[in-house]
Amino acid sequence: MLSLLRVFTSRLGGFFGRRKADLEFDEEMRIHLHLLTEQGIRRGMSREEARAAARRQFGNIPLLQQSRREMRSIVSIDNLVRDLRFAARQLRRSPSLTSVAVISLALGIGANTAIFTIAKKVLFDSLPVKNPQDLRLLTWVSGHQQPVPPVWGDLGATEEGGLRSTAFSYPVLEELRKKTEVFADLIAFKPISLTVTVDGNPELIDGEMVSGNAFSRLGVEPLLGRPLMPADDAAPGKGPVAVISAGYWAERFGRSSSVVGKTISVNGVPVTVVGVSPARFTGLQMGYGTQIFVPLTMQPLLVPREQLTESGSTSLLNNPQSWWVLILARLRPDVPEARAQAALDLVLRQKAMADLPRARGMDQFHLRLEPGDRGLDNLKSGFAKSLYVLFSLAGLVLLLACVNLANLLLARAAARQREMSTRLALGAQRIHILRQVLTESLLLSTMGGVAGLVLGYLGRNVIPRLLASPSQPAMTVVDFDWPVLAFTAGLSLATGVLFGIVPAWQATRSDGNAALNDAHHATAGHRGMWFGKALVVFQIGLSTILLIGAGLFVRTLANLNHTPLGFRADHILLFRLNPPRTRYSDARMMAFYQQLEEKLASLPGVRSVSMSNIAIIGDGHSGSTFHVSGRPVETEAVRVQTNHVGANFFQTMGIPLLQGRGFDLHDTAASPRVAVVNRALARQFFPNENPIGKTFEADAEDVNAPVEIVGIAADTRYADLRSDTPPTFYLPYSQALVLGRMVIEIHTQAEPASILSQVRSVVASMDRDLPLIDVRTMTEQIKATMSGERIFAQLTSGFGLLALVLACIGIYGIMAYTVARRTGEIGIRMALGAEAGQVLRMVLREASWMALAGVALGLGSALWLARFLGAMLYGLKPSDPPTLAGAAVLLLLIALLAAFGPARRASRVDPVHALRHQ
Amino acid sequence: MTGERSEVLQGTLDLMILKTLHALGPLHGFGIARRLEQLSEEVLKLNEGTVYTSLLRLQQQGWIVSEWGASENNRKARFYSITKRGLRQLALETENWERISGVIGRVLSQEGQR
Repeated sequence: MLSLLRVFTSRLGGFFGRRKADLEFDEEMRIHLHLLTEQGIRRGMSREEARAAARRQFGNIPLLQQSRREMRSIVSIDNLVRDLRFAARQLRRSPSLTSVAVISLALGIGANTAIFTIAKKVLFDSLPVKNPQDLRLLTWVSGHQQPVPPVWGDLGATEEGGLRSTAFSYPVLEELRKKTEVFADLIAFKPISLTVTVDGNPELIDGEMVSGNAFSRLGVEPLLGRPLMPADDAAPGKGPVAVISAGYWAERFGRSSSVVGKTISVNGVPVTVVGVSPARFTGLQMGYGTQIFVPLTMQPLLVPREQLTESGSTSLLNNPQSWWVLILARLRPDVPEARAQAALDLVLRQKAMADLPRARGMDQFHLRLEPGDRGLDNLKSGFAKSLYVLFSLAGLVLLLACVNLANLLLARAAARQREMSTRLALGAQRIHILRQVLTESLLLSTMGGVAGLVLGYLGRNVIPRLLASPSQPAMTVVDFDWPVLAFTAGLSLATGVLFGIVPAWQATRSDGNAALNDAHHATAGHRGMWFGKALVVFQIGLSTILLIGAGLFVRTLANLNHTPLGFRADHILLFRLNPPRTRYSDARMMAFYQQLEEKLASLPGVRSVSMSNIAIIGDGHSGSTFHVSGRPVETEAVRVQTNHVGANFFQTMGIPLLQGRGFDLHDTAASPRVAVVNRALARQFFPNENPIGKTFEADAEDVNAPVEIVGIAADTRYADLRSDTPPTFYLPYSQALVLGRMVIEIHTQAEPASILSQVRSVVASMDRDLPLIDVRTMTEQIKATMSGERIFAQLTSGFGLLALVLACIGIYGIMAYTVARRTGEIGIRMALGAEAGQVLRMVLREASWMALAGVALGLGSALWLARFLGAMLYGLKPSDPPTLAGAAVLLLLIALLAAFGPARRASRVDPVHALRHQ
Repeated sequence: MTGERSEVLQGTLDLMILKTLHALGPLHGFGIARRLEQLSEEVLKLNEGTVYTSLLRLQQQGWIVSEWGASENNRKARFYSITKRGLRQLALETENWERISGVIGRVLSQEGQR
C-alpha cells in the first residue's frame, strides 16, 4: 500500500513535470545510442552499420516513449478521453438515471454554494484593509452595574452577566491616543445615518464619521480625489468635507468625475465631496454599505446631540459624559497584546474615574482588546445561527443526493457485473475498470457541479435579501469569487470520488468465473444487497429529518401568522421622519410634528393620524426603568419599555383602552405629566391595586418628574411577533422635553398607498429637505419581520420535497433491482404454489422494513438535531408530535407507493418463463 | 550469434539492475547495459531501451535516485545510484530469488523414471 502511494506521488509529480522529463529521457536515449554507435565503429563497422546495429540493440523507441509516459502519469490523455467517451455513452444510455442524478446533485451543490457564498462573508471575511489581523476593537466590560452614563451605541451583556460595550467618550479617546508606545495606530469611527440632499433630493443614507488617520492607516486608496486626512479632523467643525462610496457615486452621480469639489447638504450643512472610496471598502462595519465618510470632529455641526449633554452644548467632543465613539487599535509588532491591553486599561480607568466621580461599579470596569479584523461586527451574531441551520440542511440535502447517486451507481454496477466479469476474464486490469467506473461518477458529479454553480450564482442574492429584516438591513451584494468556485469544485469532486468509489469497488470485486457462470443466481443471495439496502435506509432517514425540519418551520410560520397582534394592521400607512437637529430645536420640532399631524388629518381619505417614536413591530426598543412613587427603591432596577405617542395613537392603531382615558389635546407641556400603561405593566406592578392615579418615576431620557397614570391600554405585540408583550408605558409626545425621529401612522379609508403622494406633498410643503424614510404599510411591516421565518419555511419545504422525491427514487430503484435479481427465485416459489398476492406482500414487506428502519433512524436523529432549532420555532416544541407523526406517515406511504410497482411486477412473474430463462 | 537467447523475465531485470548498482556504485544507463551484456555473456536477449523503463520504475518506488553528471570521458550523462530503501529491497528480493530458484533447482534435479 505504501509503495502504491509512493508510485502515486511520484507520478503526480511526473504529471506536472512531464515535458521536462520527456526531454531528459530523449537526451539520455540520444547519448546511449551515440555511445553504442561509437562502440560499433570501434569494432570495425561502418558508421551506417553501427548506427543501425545500435537502433536494433536499443529496441522500439516510440513504444518505449509511450510506455514511459503511461508509467509517469496517473491517467494518460488517451485513456482519459476513451474513458470519458465511454462514460458519456453509458450516461446517455440511461437518461432518466443521469438526469435524476444531475438534478439532485445540482440542487444540493447549488444550495451549498449559495449558502457558502454568504457564510464566507458573514463568518470568515475580514475588512478589506491593510493587515486586518493586527486590528483590535476596543471594548469595555463591567459588572452588572453600568459605570458610565447611558451610551450612544451598542450595550450588550457579557457571558458572566456583566455589561459590554464598544462605545467610548471622546475625551477618553484623546487620552488613549497619548499612549503611543503600546499601539501603532488608533482609528476612531462612528456609524450614523445622515440626511443628504443632492440636487434638491433629500435621502437618508448610511454614513460613518471617521478619524482623520482612518484612510491612510488602513491603506484605503481613494478611487478618485483625495481621502480624508488628519488635517480635516484636526479641530471641531473645521473639515466640512466628505468622501463618498463607489456605490453611492455610481448611484447618485453616475460615476461623474466632476463630483470632486461638489457641495452637497449633509443634515442641512454644506459639505464638499473631496474623494470617492474604492468599491471594496464599505466602511468599518461588517456587511453594511457605508455611503459617506465625514471627519469625526464634524459631529457638533452634523449631528448635534443636546439631549446627551448636561451643559446644553451640542458637542460631544469635549463631553466626558457621553460614550459613543468606537475605536480600532492597530497593535505594534514589538508590544505583546496583553501589555497593550493592560496599558490602555490603565489609561481608561484613570480617565473614567476622574471624569465620572459618582460612577458605581468602577472596580469591575475594564478595557478589553477584541478581534478587530472585521471592524464592528454585528453580522456574525445576527446571521450566524440561521446560516448554520441553513448550511446543515443544505448539507443534508447534498448528502441525500450523494447517497442517491451512490445507490443508483451501485444498482447499475450490479447490473453490469457480467460485463465487468467478461472484461476481467479477458485480462483487463482491475485498476482500469475502477478508473473507468470512477470516471463515470466524476462526470456525473461534474455535470451536477456545473449546474449547481449556476443555481448558486442565481441564488446568491436571494438568501441575504430574504434574511434581512427592517431592523437588519440586507447585506451588500455578495461577491462570487475564487474561494466560492474552489468550494464548489471541491464539493463536486469529493462527491464524485466518495460516492463513486464504493460502487466502483463493488463492480470490480466480482470473482470473474463465478459471475460469468451464474449470472442469474436461482436464489440470489442477499449478500451484496445489504449495502444498497443500508443506503436506502440511510436515505429514508435523511428524508425524514428534512421533512420534519420543513414541518417545524412551516408550522412556525403558520403560528406567527395567527398570532393576535392586539392592534389594527390593515389600512395603516407608516413612514418615518428624522428632522436633523442642525435645523430643528426641540421647540421647533414639537411645532412641526403637531402641525404635520393636523395637516395630515385634514387630508381626504384619512381617518386619523398619530405618531410614536417606536413603531410597533420591527422597529426596535426603547427601554426605561420603572419605579412606583412611594414604594421602597428596588435593589435591581426593573426595566420596562416606553413609547412616546401622539394623542390619537390608541384610536389610530385600534388599541382598546381598558380603563381610564387616553391622551388628548389638553396634555401639553404645561399640564401635569401623564402616562398610559399597558395591561402587562398594570399586572406586574399593581397586581391588587388600581394603577389609575398612581405616579411613577423612570430614567427614560426626558422623564424628570413623577408621572401620573391615567389609563390602561390593552396588550399589543411590541418589538416583534414572537415575544410576549413586555410591560410598557406610553407618554404623550406633546409633553416630551426632547424630541427626535418619529414614525407617523395614518389610518386610511382606502388602500394606504393611494394617499401616499398627497402625504409626500404635505411633508414637502413644510420642509422640502426632509425625506420620508421607510414608507410602508403596517401589513408589509409585519410581513417583513417574518421574512426570515418565511424563507426558512420555503427553503425547508423545497428541501423536504426534494428529499421525498429522492427517497421515492431510492426505494423504487432498490426494489426494482431486487425483484429483477430474484426473478428466478420468485419463479420457483410460484411454481411451488406461491400465489401472486403472497409474492406481492413479500416484496412490500421488505420495502416497509427498510422504510420503518429509515423512519426510526430519522426520527431519532431529528429529535436530537431539532433541539438546536428551539429558539427559531414559535408556538411549538422541537419535538412537535403532529410534525413528527406526519413526516413518518408520509414517508411510509411514499415508500410503499414506490415499492408497489416492482412488487406488482414480481407478482406477475410467469414461473415457466422465469425458470426457462435460468 | 543467433543461437538460443532467453527473453529476460519480467521483474528480473529490475533485480539485476539493482544488484549492478549495488555492486558497482553510481552508473549511467549505458554503463548498466554494458555490464549486463558482459555478465550475461550473450545468453540474455535484451532491448537496451527497456533498461530505462526499468530505471524509471525503480525510481518511482524510491529504490534508486538519479542525477545528471559528467561521464569518464567528460560527456553529460545521468547517473543512477541505489538508496537505503533500495538496499533493503535488494536484500529482500535476493533472498526471495534464491528461495525460488532453490525450489526450481530441486524440482528440476529429480531423477527421471524413463
